[in-house]
Order: sequence, then C-alpha cells, then structure tokens
Amino acid sequence: MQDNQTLESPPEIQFAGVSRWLKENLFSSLSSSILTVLSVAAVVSVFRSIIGFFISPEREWTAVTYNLQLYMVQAYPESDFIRVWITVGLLIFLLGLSWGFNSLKEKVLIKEWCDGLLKGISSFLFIVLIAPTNVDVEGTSVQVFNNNTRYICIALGIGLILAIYLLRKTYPKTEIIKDRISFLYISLLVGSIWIIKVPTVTFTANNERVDPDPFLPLANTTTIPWTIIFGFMIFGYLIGSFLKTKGKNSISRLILSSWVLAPLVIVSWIYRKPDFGMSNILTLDLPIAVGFSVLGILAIRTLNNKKIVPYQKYVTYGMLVLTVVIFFLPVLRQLKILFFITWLLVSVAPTIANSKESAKNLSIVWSVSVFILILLMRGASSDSLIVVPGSSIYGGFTLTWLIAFFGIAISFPFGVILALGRTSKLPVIRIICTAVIELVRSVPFITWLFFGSVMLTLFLPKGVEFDEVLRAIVVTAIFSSAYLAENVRGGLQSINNGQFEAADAVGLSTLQRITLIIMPQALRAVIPPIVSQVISLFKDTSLVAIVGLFDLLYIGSKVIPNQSQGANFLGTIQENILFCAIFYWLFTYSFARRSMKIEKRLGLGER
Amino acid sequence: MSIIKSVDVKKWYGDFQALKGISMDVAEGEVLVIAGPSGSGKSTFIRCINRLEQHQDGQIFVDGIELTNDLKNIEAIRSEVGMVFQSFNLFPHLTVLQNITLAPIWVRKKSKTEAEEKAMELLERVGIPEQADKFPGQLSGGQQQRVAIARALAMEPKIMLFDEPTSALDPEMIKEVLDVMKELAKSGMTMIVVTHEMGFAKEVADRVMLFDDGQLVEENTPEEFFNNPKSDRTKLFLSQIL
Amino acid sequence: MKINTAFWRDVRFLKWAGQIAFLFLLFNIVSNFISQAINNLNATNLPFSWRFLGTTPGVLISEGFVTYPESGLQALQVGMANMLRITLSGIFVATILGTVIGVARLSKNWVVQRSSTGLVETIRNIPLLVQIFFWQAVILSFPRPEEYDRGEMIFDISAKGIAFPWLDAQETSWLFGVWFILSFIAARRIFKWRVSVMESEGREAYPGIASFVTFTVWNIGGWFGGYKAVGAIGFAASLLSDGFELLPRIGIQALIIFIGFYYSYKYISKEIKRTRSAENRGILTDDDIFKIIMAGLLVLILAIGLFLPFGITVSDFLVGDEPFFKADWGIPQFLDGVQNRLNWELTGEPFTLSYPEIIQAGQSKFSRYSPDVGKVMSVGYFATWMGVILYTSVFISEVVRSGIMAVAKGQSEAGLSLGLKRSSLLRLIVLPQALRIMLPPMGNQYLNLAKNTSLGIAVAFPEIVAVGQTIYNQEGQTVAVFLIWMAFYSTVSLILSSIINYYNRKMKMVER
Repeated sequence: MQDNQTLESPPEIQFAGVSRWLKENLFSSLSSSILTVLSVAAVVSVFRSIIGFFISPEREWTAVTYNLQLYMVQAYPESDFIRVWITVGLLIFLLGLSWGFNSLKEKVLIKEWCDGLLKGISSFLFIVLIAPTNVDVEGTSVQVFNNNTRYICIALGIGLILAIYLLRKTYPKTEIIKDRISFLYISLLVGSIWIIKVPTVTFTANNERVDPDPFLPLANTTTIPWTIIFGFMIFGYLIGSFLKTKGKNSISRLILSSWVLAPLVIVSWIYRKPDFGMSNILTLDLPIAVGFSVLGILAIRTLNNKKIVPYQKYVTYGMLVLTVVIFFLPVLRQLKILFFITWLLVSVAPTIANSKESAKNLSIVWSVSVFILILLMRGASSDSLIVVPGSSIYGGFTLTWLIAFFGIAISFPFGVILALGRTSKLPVIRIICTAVIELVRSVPFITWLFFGSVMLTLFLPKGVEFDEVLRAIVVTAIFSSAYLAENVRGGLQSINNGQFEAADAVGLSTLQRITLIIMPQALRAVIPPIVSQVISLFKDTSLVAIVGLFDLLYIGSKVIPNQSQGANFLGTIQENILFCAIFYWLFTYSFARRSMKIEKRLGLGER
Repeated sequence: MSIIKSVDVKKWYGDFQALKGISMDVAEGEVLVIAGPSGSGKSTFIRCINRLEQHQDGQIFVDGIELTNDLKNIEAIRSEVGMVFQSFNLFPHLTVLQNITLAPIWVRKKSKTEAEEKAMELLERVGIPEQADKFPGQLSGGQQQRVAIARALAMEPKIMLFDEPTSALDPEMIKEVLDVMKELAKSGMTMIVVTHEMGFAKEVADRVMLFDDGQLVEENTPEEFFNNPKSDRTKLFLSQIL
Repeated sequence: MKINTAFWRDVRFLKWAGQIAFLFLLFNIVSNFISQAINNLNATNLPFSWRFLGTTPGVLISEGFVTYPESGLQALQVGMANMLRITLSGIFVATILGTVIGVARLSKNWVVQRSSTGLVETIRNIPLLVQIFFWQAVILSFPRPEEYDRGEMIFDISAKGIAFPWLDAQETSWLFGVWFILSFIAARRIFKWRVSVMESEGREAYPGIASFVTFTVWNIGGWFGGYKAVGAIGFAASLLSDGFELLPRIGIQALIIFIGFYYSYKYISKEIKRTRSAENRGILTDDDIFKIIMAGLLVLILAIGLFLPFGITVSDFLVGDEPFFKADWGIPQFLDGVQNRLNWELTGEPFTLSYPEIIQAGQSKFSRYSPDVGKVMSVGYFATWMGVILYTSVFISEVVRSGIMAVAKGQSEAGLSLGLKRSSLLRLIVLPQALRIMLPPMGNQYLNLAKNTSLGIAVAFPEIVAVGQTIYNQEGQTVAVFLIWMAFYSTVSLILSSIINYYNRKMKMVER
C-alpha cells in the first residue's frame, strides 16, 4: 500500500549541441558506452517482440473489441443504456464545469509545446522503425508489416516533424493556453472515432461468423453519444469560465456539493429504476420537502437574531430531544432522517450563517439538499425495475469504480477517527484503536474479501442479508480505513506540540481543536500518501475477481476466454489480460500524474 | 485585590522537581516580570497559571477561581487568560485575520462580522493591518509575534501571559514586539512576562521576580532589583546578564 | 486545604468514566455479534470447533512437502510452508532486482535511466493480480511437455512449469545443514579475529580472505564427513528427551505460569517503584495504572487459559483427546526428531544432484515431469513468484532511489573531493549510509510482499489462503480458518518487523 508516486521530468533535449549531449549522457566513458549499446539493444529487442506480439495474426483482438460493452457495464440491459450515457454526460459536464471554474488559464510557449510534440513523434518513428516485418507463427514466418507502410509512416512522421519545426521557428515567443491544447487533443480523439475502422465480428445470415473479420467503422451508438458528451464538456467548461469571470465564489461550494451528491444520484439512477407514483409524490414528498425547506430557512434566519442568540443552545438541545423522540416513534423513515439533519442544521447554522450572504447561501444549499434527499429516499424505497438476466447488475468497470469510490469515501471518516484514537491520550481508546488497525493491516486484503463473502452474514441476525457487492464495499472500507488511519497518524505526528497548546490557550474545546486546528493541518500534510493509497486501492479492487464478483479483471480473465457462444473466443486469455493491464495502467498512471500536478499547485499556496 | 494568587505551588517532571513551592500574588493592572536562568521553572510556572501544565501540590487562584480538575473552572480560566508563546504558534493553515477571529467566533460565539471588525482594530493596534489576508508563513518573526498578541487580545482577556516572547526573534524585530507590549502595559492590562529583556523590565514593570532552581529567589521593585538587590543570587544573575 | 470538586465535573473522573463506558459499550456490541454468530452457527449444524485440525481432510494439495495431508493441521502447515517458500525466495530476489533498478534509475546514462524509469512506471501502475494472470498466461502459452523418456535434461520449460536440476536432500543433510550454518559463525569469528590483529599490530592481516578460506575449508571438510560432529546436538537432545519423560506433565503449565507471574510481578513493581521514587510521591498517571492493570490481566488470562480445560470438555480445544493439562506441547516429539535427524551414525553424501525427467502420467498418453527428480517450478508458483517479485522490486527500487538521493548530495561531493571513483563512492560511502534510511521502508515492502503472496490463490498456488479456503469449503469452519489466517499472518509480520527493527537498532548504534 505504500506507493510513493514520484515522477520526474525528462531531461531537457537541446537541439544545439546534440553531440555534446550524446557524449555526456551516453558515451561519457568506456563502460557507459558499453552500457548504452547493450541497453539500446535490449530495449529494441523488447519493443520489437512486444510489437510483434501485438500485430501477430495469431492475436484475436476482436475478443476485446467485441466485448467492450461487457467490460464496461457487464450485463446491463441495453434498453436502459440511455441512463448510463446521461450519467456519464452529467459527470463529464460537471468535470468541464469545475475545470473551467478552477482553471488558472496557464499558458505555455508554443516552442515548449512543440518540443513535447516532437518527443512524441520521435517515439512513434522509433516504433515504426524497429517494428518487425515478419513474425513466427507456428514455425513459419508471416509478413505482418510491409515496408511500404513503413515508408509511408516514416514520411508522414518526418513531414510532421518539419511542420512542427517550422511552427516552432515562426512563433518563438507566442504563448498558448494549456486548456486549448488539451481540447485539441480531446477533439482529435473524438474526431478519430468517426474515422477509424476496427475489425468487427459479424455474422452471415445463417449465423456463421464472417472470416476474416471485416474492418468496419464504429457503430453510431458509440460515436454519437461520445460526440454529444464532448459537446457537454466544452459547454461546461465555457460556463465554468464565465462564472469565474463573474467572481461568484458561492459557485465553488455548489460545484463541490454536486460532486459529493453525484455518486448518490448515479447509484440511484443507474442501479435502480424506481417506480415514481405521482400520487405519492404530490401528497407526501412535495409537502414534506417544502415544509422542511421552509423550516430550515426560518431556523437560519431566526437563530442569528440578536434576541434569540442567548437561547441558541436550548434550541439545539430541544431539537436533539425531538430527533431522538421522533426516531422511536412509528413515523415515516423520511421524517426521521429529515429531523436528524435539521438538528445538524440547527447546531451548525449559528456559526456558519453569521452574515447575510452566508445565510442566503446556506438557505439555498439547504433547500436543494432537502429536495434531492427526498428524491433519493423515494428512489431507494421503491422497487427497481431494472432486471438483469442471470447475474448481478453490478459488473464490469462500473463495479470496479463503484467499489473503489465508495470504499474510499466510507473509509475516510473511520480512518480519521481511528487515527485520532490511536494518538489519543486516553489509554483504553488508544489500545483498542491500535489493536483494530494492526489486526486489519496484518492480514492481506484477499482474506478480508473472503471474510466479507463468507463470514459477514454470520455475525448478523437471521434475515438481515445484504448484497454481495455491498459486502465487498464494506470490507474494502474496513481495510482501507486502517491504512488511511496510519497515513493520517503520520500527519498528526508531524504537527508541532505548540499548535495544541495555542489551541488550548485561546480556549478551544477538544473537539474544536481537532476539527479547526489539528485535522486541517494533518490532512494537508498527508495528501501525497493518501493519493497513493487511493491509487493502490483502485488497483486492489481487482482482487474481487477472486471472490467471484464480475469486475473488469474477472470478465477479462474468466468470462471472455470461456466464451464459445456467438463468437468463439476460447483461450484468448493473453489479449484480454493485456487489455486489462493497459486499461488499469491508463487510469492509475494518468491519475498519479494529475495528482502530482495538483499537489504541486497546492504546495505553492502554503508558504 | 489580587487577581492571581499562588500558594506553595509544586510540580515534578518524573524525578525532576521543576517548582519547589512558589507563593506569590499579582494585583489587578500590575505588570510583573519574571527573570531567571533557563531551566529555573519560570516558564513552567506561567504555564501552570494557564493550566497548560498541571501543578501537583499547592493552590493557584485566578480571578478568585481555584485551578482544579474541575472542567468548568478550566474552561472559564482559559478564556480569561491570554497567552503568547516563544515560538508564536500561529495556525499556519489560516490567514492572519482567521487566526484572530477563530476563537471569538467559536468560543465567544460572536458573529463573524463583529469578530472581524474587532480583529482589524487589534491589527491596527499592533501596527500590521495590511497583513490581514496573508498566511503566517509569509510574515517575519516580529510580525508573527504581534499577530499572536492580537490573537490573544481578541478574546478580551483580563490577564496576559508572555512566555519569552522575544527570544526567538532577530534583534531588530525585538523592538517592534516590545513596543506593542509597552503600549499594552500602559493601557492597564495585567501582565506576567517571562523575559530576558531587562530594559523592558526597568521601564515598564511594577515588580520583578527572580526564579532559580524552581524557587522564588527575589521579589522587588525594578529600581531595587537592579540597583540594590537583596540576594547574592540576583547579583550573580545580573552580573551575567548585563 | 483540600478542595472537593463535584465528581461529575472532575476532568480525571470524566476521562475514566468515558473510557469505561466506551469499553463497556464496545464489549456489549462485540459480545452481541459473537453470540449472534454462535447462534447462527448452531443453527447450521456446524458449530465452531477446532476438530477439523485433527481429522483427515481428504483433499489433494497440488504441491508442497505433503500432497495428501493426514490432518487439517498438516494441510494448513503445507500452505504455510508454501507461503514462506515463496516469501523468502521472493524477498531475496526482489531485493537484488530492486537495488539494480533503483541504481539504474540514478544512472547518468540516459538510455539506462529512461528505460528503467519506464519499467517502473509500467509495472507499478498495473494491479498485481493482472500481472500474476499475465505470467500465468505466458507460461501456459508454452507447449505441453512432450517426448517422455528422453532421459535427463538440464533445463526445460513448458505449460507444466519450469524444470531444472536440484540438490536432493539425503539422510545426512540435516547434519550438514547445521554444519553449514555453523560455518558462517566460524567465518565471522575468523574475520573479527583478523581485524583485531590488523588493528592492534598495524599490518595487513587479510580478514576477508581468511574468513573466506575458513568458510570454504570448513564446508568442504563438512561435506566429506565433518558433519558428524553435529551429531553431538542429537545426542544432547536424546538426553534431554529422557529427562523430559520424567517430568510430570502438569509441571510445564505450572512453570509457564510461574514465569509469567514472576515477570509481571517484576514489571508491576518496577512501574510502581519508578513512580514512587523520592520525588514522584507515588503519583501514578493514567498510563501507569493502565499498564499495571494490563500486565496483571494478561498473566491472569494466561493462567486461566492454561488451566481452564480442567473440568470443561477438552477436545474442543485440542487436537486428539488428551486432556489439555497433560499435553506435552509436542516437546518430546520435537526432541526425538532432533535426535533422529542429527544422528552421528548416519553416513553418505548430504546432497545429490538430480536432473529433471519427463515421464508418462499414469496410463494416459499425456506426459509430465517426474516429481521425484530435479525440481519443477509449477505454473502457479511461477506466476505468483514472478508477479510478486517484479511488483515488489519496483517499489524497492523507489526506496533505494530515494535513500541514495537523500544521502548523495553532500556526501558525494565529499567523496569525490577525496578522489574516489564514482563506483567506489557509491559502494563505500553512499550505500552504507543510504541503507540506514532505506531499512524501515524496505521492511514495509517485505511485509507487503508477504501479504501479496496470498494472491497465489488466483492461479491455484496452494499457499495458506488457498489451502484454508479448500479446508473451509470441505469442513465449513470459516471462523476457525479465518482465525488461523490472522494468527499466521500476524506472526509472520511480527517476525519480519522484529528482524528489521533489530537491524535498524543495530545500525543506529553503529552511528553513535
């Protein structure tokens, strides 16, 4: 779990003085020269065999391309795909919005950008140059890459290099906004899905597979949604930038709360298809929602009234008592939950909403969340209409994502509490927390997954059963919180004793000291280890394949290589495993890179 | 009427006895300077007054309340006694303004606007209103210490404790902090100052005390203390420090 | 004058009341869960028991020191042995590989540096399980072993695994093994002696050469019969075993409890004495009280635990039907084993070299490697081993790199100014210092490696988790198996981390 994701920037290549660079970096001494020759030979041969492996006619890549849908959503009914697309669209829109809102509009010299491009193109040329012409297939040599293609590719590469070189020369000092470059790349990607042709499994009229697989353009069901989603992203970005120029700071809170609420919405929207009876909504939900939002707004307004201030405490206590009483009364579950959060509101409102503007903000946030909560609860309490034949609705990459996200999210509060307990001065609490952390950490993750899949139900009363996926999420959260606790503990220990004393000296209570002074500093100090923990948890979700959940890896390693109906993909294990590897790699690597950059940016504001 | 009174206060760290029975009292509005070599227990003593450390024997009364393990008393005393530390101990993740308004908002339950007005007033008083939106890490040592004083004053304490406020500062910054402290003393605040700045003691103090080896060696007016000390230990101390 | 604070406002009281309330609550919750589990288990007609440890599970374990285990305990032991096998060899190889990659990443040579960085970035961003599946797919892509009866081979790789020559243990290999371990001690002694000669007389005394020669001579001598000297240990064991027979069984428990009581008494009195020292006036802090209570409790639990089965049914606690207080803890068997293996009457070469062979499997036309000669690295072992080694070595390389970088800056300049070459600078100055920084994170990586071997279950490698799963599928004792897993992994972690801590402390001492 201890990944220290550090990446370094590649050494600067200078066009002038190439020979000097070569001498310094490759041929500085005899031993270095020998090393260079040997390692170049090794790299070339490794790349040659990898490329040969990939383009060999023995490989059946259609096993991957034909099953991409299975990989992403497993057996999710096609008739409901629109829900998935809308969710992805919403998320991407939100992504664009926060990107536009938070973008620093950093600029980069065209020169530097060109240097990066040149590096990419030279790597492409390198691969084209060394790609093998023939590969061995069962003892006979088969041509896989003819020289004409190679020449065309090389000519194309050299042409591009010349063009970029020209661009570099003509605009030596011009700057370009980084975001635009990113959009250029993404639009190239989106444009390419309209152009490229991929080998596709097709069947003749009497259900025989066409051999060889024809190259066909991507289906409209893929290209159109992605294009629309890309449009959404640009739209979100523009709105975000616009709001930023308007300087609306309250928007940032809104964006943040949308991110927090988004997963809940997604789960209720993708994995459930509740039957919304209009009569229920009109007679029950709507009045409750309106009532509570009015109640909340009234509370926010009155609690900061000068006359009420001395009695705030009693209002809070009264609300607590009311909440507890309501909890034990036989009323709607919605009411119980709403009373609870109203109590939370009443206890935080006086401190949060102590100016006119913040009171207004809080009122808006309150009303919106009451409505969303009511909606979610209605959704959660009615039966889902999504029916998946045979297996679980949760599968494929959506499952991987679900476990990783909720595992981390749930583990966060527990991890922080465990860390506080372990550093506590109270011996009983400390010993218990230490024991819990160490016990959880001592055993590998897979045994915890077995615990979840076979043993967890043992400890629950008869009749209480929950879904396999939920159990996996629970054990992931338990496991992750122990590791998180250790990371947070590192942060807590890095805090100077003087901070505790100063907090005491100004009269803060223990809880205030922890939440206002200690935790913010401790968490900020441990962002890098927590990020690497998130990354390694994402990787570890692949272990659910061992306990038989249909995650990405299970589909790649067990499901597709055993497919024989429809298209026959028996034994295509190598292709599928490689696809999984590349898929995971893309996610973890780009996440690691991005978080590195964000960490750097955060670090700047500090001191 | 004495606002702080201590009777035979003793304190141990493991085998080491840091305070060997300190009895003293401070009147309201008085400025008391405590001097002494390092390790003499002077810091420990003023930290006991704020209950950052617990004395193990004897009694301490602050504003008529005895310091015991009583939860209520500790809370009451903490908000009446302000403290300034040697190493500033500002909260690095909060801006200067937030540092000052934090306790008034959360402990005194003041509204944000009210607390911010008060904070700006205090920043004017310590002479750095323009730094309000900076982070502590961006300020010089002297400025940080002045913010720390403003933070303590924001709670409107009756008593201010200074634990070697200038010993972590460069010489040119000491003056700006001492000026603020002098101004504070003139305004009638009750202050206990642990310091090596004898010039400050001469100029502002109503009384000077010398601690050595956990004991109160001498207690005197500044004139007498510097010109005509009673004990030989004081003479030795003065000869070393002046 | 003593002031009486109302107890409900006294901080000390509140602190302890809160903790005790918390403990009580926790105890309640946990006991609720446990009683629920007991109820549920009873309802399934599979109540919790350890009995499966003694009965024959009737499962086949594909590799290990026993393939048809006689008891559940033995099956689990096979799993543990397999896990340790892969862990120890993994640690060894991953350390070397990781160091090489780490140094390569700091190389001044651009190609070497970039390609090693590329390797690291590739491997650490792919889940280990995917990599293990990958290596399994790689080895399964080889053809099956064919042409049996082609005689002895040096090396062969096929879909059945990797076969290579191996030193087969003989009767006398235990004797030689002990002799071999002793040779390290002897070589070390010689080394120290020569160094002391060098220091006191100020002349070259060749400590390295001397210790190497000792090592070689000692082992060559041992190979041709010198190992018989080790038989003395076997003889001592036989004497001990005889003596042990005379002891009443209950004596051991009593002895253990007595020792436990003695040490806890010592501990408690030390604690009290420390706080009672002239100046402390007997003031016990919360922590002191807690430690004392815990020390007392632990011994009490130990005592009760050892004598508990007096009246209660014993068989649930123990394999076999022998009452617990009469149990001999396996000590006589152990002593007998020592006596038999380290017997000086044994003769012959300690090890013989054997080559792998392909044989016909039963009556079928399929062929496979002979299990009796040479060594075969099975598919599961290979996949797990490769995956774990590469994955761990990448993280180790990161540890090595940051360790070296932490030292390198100032120290390299100092070294270069002394006129050292770059290579000797690394070996003589940077690495020894970096080692100290590297040790704790390295230990973490070793622990991760040990835990990661559990992924062998995905490729049917029978390590402890896989065997445990087989057993509970057979016997239904999930809780018991989980407890065994927990105990085993905790013990391994504890041992590994205490070794690391030992070296860490030792290095710190050298620093002074």
